[in-house]
Amino acid sequence: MKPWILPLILASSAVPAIVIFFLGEKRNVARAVLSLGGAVLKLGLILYMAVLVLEDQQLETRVPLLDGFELVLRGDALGFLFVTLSTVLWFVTTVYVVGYFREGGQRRRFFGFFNLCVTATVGIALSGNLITFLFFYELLTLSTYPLVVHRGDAESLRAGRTYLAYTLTGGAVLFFAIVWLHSLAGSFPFTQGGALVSGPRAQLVAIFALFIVGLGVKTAIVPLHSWLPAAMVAPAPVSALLHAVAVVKAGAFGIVRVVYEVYGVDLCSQLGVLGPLAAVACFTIAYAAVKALAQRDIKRLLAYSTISQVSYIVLGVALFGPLGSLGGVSHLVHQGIMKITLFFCAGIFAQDLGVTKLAQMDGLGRRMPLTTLAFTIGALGMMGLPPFAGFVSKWYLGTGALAAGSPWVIPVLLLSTGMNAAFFFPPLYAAWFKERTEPWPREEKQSARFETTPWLLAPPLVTAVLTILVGLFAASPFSVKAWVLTIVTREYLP
Amino acid sequence: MTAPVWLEVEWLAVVLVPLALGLFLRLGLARDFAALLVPLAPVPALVFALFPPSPAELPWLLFGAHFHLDQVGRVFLFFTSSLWIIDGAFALTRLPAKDRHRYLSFHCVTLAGNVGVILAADVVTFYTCFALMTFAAYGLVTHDDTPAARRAGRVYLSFAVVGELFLLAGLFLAAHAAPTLSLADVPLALGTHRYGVVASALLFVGFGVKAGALVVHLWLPVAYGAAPAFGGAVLSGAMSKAGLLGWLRFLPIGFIALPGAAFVMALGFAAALYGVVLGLCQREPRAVLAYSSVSQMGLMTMIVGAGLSSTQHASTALSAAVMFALHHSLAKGALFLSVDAARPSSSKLLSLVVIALSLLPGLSLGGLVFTSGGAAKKAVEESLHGAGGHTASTLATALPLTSIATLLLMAWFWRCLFLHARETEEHARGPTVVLWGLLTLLSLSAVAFVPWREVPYFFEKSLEPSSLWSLTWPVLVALALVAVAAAAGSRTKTRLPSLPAGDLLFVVEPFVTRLWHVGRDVDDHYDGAVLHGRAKLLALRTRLRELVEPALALDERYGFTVGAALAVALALVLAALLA
Repeated sequence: MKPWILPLILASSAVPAIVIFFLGEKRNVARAVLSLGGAVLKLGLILYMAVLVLEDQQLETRVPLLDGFELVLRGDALGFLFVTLSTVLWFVTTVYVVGYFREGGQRRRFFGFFNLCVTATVGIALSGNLITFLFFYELLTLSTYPLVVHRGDAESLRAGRTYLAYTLTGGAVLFFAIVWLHSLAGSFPFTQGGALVSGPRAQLVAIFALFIVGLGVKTAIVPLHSWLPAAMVAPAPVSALLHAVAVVKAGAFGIVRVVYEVYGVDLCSQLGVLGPLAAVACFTIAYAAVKALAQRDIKRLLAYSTISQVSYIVLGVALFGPLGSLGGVSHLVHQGIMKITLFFCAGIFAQDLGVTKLAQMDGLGRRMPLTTLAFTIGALGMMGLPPFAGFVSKWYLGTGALAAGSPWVIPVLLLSTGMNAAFFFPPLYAAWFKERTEPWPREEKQSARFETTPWLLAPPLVTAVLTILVGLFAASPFSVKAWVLTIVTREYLP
Repeated sequence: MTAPVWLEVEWLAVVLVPLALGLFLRLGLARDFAALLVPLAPVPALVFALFPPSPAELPWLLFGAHFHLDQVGRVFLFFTSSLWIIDGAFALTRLPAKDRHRYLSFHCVTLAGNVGVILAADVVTFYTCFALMTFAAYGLVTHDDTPAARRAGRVYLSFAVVGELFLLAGLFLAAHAAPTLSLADVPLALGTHRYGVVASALLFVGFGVKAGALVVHLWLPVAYGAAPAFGGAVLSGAMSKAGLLGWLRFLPIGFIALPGAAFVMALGFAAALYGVVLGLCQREPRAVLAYSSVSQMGLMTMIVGAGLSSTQHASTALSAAVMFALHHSLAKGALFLSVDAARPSSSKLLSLVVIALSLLPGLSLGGLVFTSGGAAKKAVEESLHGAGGHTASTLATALPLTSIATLLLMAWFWRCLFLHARETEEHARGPTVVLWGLLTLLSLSAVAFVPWREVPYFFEKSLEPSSLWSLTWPVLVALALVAVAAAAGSRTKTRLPSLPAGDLLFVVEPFVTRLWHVGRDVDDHYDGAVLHGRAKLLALRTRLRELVEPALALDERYGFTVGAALAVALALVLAALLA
């Protein structure tokens, strides 16, 4: 059925990527039109795909690769969730990028890899088996490297090397895990409720551990997280998508796939691997939250906050029970919307006013009311205050933990909430309530009418509004929560 | 049964009208006009209190929002909306026209949250509105923008966050225990579930922060003292009652004899006296009132403790709590406004009249017969008698002590107010005094015309012959004590000790601040150590780098080509997929 739609979704960003590489450096307008056009086309295709998935049609495209290996693209409910997240956020990021790179060199390279990167992420979402997943996972690593080192100075290159060292090693471990599992169980597609039925216990546990280590690098599970704060040297839109959609989410999404659709929750529970996974996630949540409190740089603060928040997803997956899963998987989307808002805003502060440190934020609310408002909404959402998106995930994680008989998770959630309040309230206070006493580090008036160019301003406003809507209408049938509920029901009752 | 759609919109309007007004003021849209509408923002809520609609359900909102207004809610909504109406108008008369939009926007958003808390009939809606109210009130506390106000803001926010954490933990447990998120199911679930006691304790502390229960009351004198008088009026008159409402809505009153109930009652009694002792050591009238609130909320804690200690007489305790809330809300609101109203411009005489009349709500707090205070005192007494048990009966016997103490504190407040009015240069305008008078009148007469069952019951009880004497003698004792104290004070020139507002806070605060900085320093050292280790590694890496330099150079030159090749390879794969 409609076998063309999945490859077309990939092609809608891959083709612009290729064309951009062969366009001249000066062809700014053509580049922007190509990128945005691809993003719009992809949005349209996703809408069509939504209809098909709701009709429960089997969307699948297979290509034999080697003997016994196939590349499989498949559209299921979980994949669709991630595709939608990527596509929507990529669209707003593309708008932001067009506004962000008004001058400076190497824009051809940037836009080319930028589009490749979305292709890889969407590929990860649509992968129908582990080999396909691995292919796009590695493609993602390679295509994000040029974005991380975009500035090209010594610090960027150093961060880039750290990034590669971590992610390539992670990829290698993942590769090893996949090969091992293949030798044990042969080739199989991702299956709702789990593909594996049984097997040698010790080996399965070892492979699971390898999976978690391999995927945990991108997910930034402590102690595999050091690359993430280092990668903060990347330009703001890159950080935004690294944190919200692409890299860390690819890892987390991989863990969701492995737990639910390779092993299956029941098998994981029998193997006893969920408890340790939950413990690791909790440690990451707590450690990174405390580390974040000590940061003085806005983007580094956000980086540690990401490390902490992405492990919410892992935690939700590790809690054996539909409520926890609901919290974890919906956080995949919620964290994305909130974090991208924060990074967009941080980017505007840095780009227009040279504000990169928490201590420089005094009086921002007066100078950039809308941007600061968006930042505030993102931050309150991160704290998990109702009615913002973060509250929905936290609520289901908390009640899910109790339902799963793991009340020890509650103090971790509370600590994380308290820490989030402790590191977000001081900058919010400074921005809204303190008077500006000294000039901005570097002031560039970007727009006569607005506080910054509309290209930069619109994306965080859109995602901030989404942050509110997603939480405020959590019970409506069109919410993220409703969709995730469908997924979770299918995973637990395949 | 589903209500017609227009009715559901009406429920939302009660919250959305003030919220929208707040946003208009914040964003500067037609804000001079919007400012004038501020006193009208609670009017829909008042209409609801008088003519309650049937319950409504909005399944698409939050986690499925339920709204319902029961008897308890109606009384709360009545005094809350009345207080906010008068307070909004009062704030308009006090704030300079140019510089009032910011305050008024926080005022409106806080109001929206406060009203929403009363209407909410499910856990998530309740919590959402409660959080909205809590965090928006930060703007009320910090309005003056002085160092003291900013510190008060920090203290307020810290306690608010701690309160939210306790609440969140309690709500997780409550939601887990209850079959649905409806508030109607929660108390029973907490009464029977194995997590019930823990959840009740967490919720008691969580709402206790707002209600000013002992130990977590420390923010209260600081914040009430720093906020403008009309901010303090709603903080103590309306918002602390939202904390009480949280107790009434969530705690398993009537479903279980909770093991800690005697402790709760004792804690309340301790707070009632502690608040007075600390209040006597204050000089700033608003801080005196804040400690009076700690004391009065102690009495309310006693009622709640009484309700938790037996299953049979819980309804008495519930009615008593409603009665007390109505009484304290309006009386304390009137007293706060008198701080600003006690200095009218026209004449010294009028000022004296205002100060003299401000005695009345004070006497009412002390439980003077024929006032709402008398009825409220009766309510406390009845609830304690209903509770039974040793602690309750002991406390019931000792209850007149709290009346005497309250009256002493009110006398002290009156003195502070007098000095304050004499010292201040600033004068109040006519409308300010009129609005203060209106609230005072309302506070004194509310018992007479609030038509709900509980209120006339306790009022009539307080007029029985046996009550008349029991309510009167503490007043006489207090008057005698005040007279003796005043005489002794002027003869021996001894003065009451002066303590900073926030008592124990001065022990806790430096410690927390120090901890905060130490945390950062440790982290810096840690980063420094790591960096030092890295320097050694760096030398090794430079060597290695020299080896791979040629390859890197290649990459720098052909990096773009590599990317393009990658893209082509991908295109081929895609083409294969499409084929």
